[in-house]
Amino acid sequence: MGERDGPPGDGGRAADPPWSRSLRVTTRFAVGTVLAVGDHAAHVVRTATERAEGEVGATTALVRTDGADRAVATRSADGATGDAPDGPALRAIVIGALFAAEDRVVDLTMTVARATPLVARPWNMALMRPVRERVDGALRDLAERGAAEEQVARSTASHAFDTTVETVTASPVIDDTVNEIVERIIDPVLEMAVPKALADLQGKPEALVPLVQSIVGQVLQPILDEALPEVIDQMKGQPELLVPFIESLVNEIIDPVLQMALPKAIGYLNEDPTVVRDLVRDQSTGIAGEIAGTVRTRAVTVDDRIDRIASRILRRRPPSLEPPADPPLDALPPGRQDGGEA
Amino acid sequence: MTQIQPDRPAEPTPAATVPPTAAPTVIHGADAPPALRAVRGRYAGIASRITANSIDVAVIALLTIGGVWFAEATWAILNLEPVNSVDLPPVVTAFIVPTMMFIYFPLGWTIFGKTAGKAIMGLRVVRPDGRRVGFIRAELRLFFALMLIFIGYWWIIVDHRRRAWHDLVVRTVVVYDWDDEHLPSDLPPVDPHG
Repeated sequence: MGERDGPPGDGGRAADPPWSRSLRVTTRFAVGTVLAVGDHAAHVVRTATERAEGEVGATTALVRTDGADRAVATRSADGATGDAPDGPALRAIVIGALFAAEDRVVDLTMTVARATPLVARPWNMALMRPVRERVDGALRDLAERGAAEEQVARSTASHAFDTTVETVTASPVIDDTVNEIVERIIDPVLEMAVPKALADLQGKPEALVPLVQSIVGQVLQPILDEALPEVIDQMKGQPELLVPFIESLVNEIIDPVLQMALPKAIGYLNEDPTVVRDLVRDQSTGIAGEIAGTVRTRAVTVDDRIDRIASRILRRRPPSLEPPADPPLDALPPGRQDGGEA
Repeated sequence: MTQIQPDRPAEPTPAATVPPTAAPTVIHGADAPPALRAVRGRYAGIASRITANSIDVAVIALLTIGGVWFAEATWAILNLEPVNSVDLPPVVTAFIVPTMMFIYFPLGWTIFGKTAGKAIMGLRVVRPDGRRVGFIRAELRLFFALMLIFIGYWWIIVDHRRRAWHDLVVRTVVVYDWDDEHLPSDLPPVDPHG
């Protein structure tokens, strides 16, 4: 049993029925899929671990000497190639046992199939009817119990899974593990990466715009859209809470921001006062131009009105109705327009 | 519409045309068509010119005060006296005002075509053909204006080119020299036909 007539991959033994060949192909496909997925998952986990260890090593190495750097690189390389698992031998045994069991199933099925015609005839005789009914009844009972047990098992499994998840997520061990990971991996990265990023941003302040936009869009916008209206709705019924709410808002958010941002903004403006100067100048020029425009327009209106009154008194056509026969200033040739006298 | 009468043959200016038969319309600010809003080149009326001269008088007053103080300070420094203790002789003080006027106005008209008041009001002094006024002509213009103690300004109302008497004597005109960009958005109503 379990000996194969052909080489691996030939589809099975020569005496096996055709359906057993399909069974074997299906089994091989399933086993191959499981093995491939397992290998891939193991590869992913190993790569992520190596990368994390490499980043920690690189970050640490930046503040150490070159010798330490080489040591970290060596350790990282060792970690990448140092795995020599004993798994393949055990795995081969399991796979072999699986296919041997499959062969046994095929043989057993063939035996039953060969015996079925011999057994079926006396089984169907009238004499065997009480026995047959009892067996059928026993099978029905088994089926009903099986269905009931399946329901109970599913429910129990679901409950057990939920309980396990809750226990795991609430476990201090998980917290400790996460903290450990953060301290070991993320903290060194942040210590090195954030100052570098801030230094880069100081050189390129325009890069801050998308960053701030993304922060506002992803962090502040949901708060403003969802949390704030909800808080305000809840405060409608309790207006006495509004004043302390606003006070705490100012104390906790606006004051610290002002204390942090205002000196920095004044510092920036001190470094480059031309921005403020240009702003004030443009604003002043704009206001002065606006006032001048208003005064001019009113003066032109008064001019025309006085002209009309004078024309009425002098009984002549108003100047504004005379046909325009004169070129404006800028219609004159440049030589004549700009040419002065001696 | 009153505009510069050139010495050379006149050319029509479609941009400045306002049909005399058009229905009266009251136009506000940005709604005003460019043909009406562009007043550049038209002869300036008496209200604009008196307003500009009032501003110039204020400027002259400030310049005079500053000039007197500067002269007194200079005198004091040269004579080693306290700055505030010196009073210029009345004769000298009396000369400062006309001196300032005969420097300020002609130089402004000659170099820029306008003084500070005329710049604010958007006016320019030119010869009838549009050329810039020379220094001598500018001095004569101011001289005749002072001689006629500004009475000649009232002739602006009568003259079809809105010229004062000193303009007639020295052959100058004053025109609007500003365009749409100086118009405020809340322009008061302008009725092109009354």
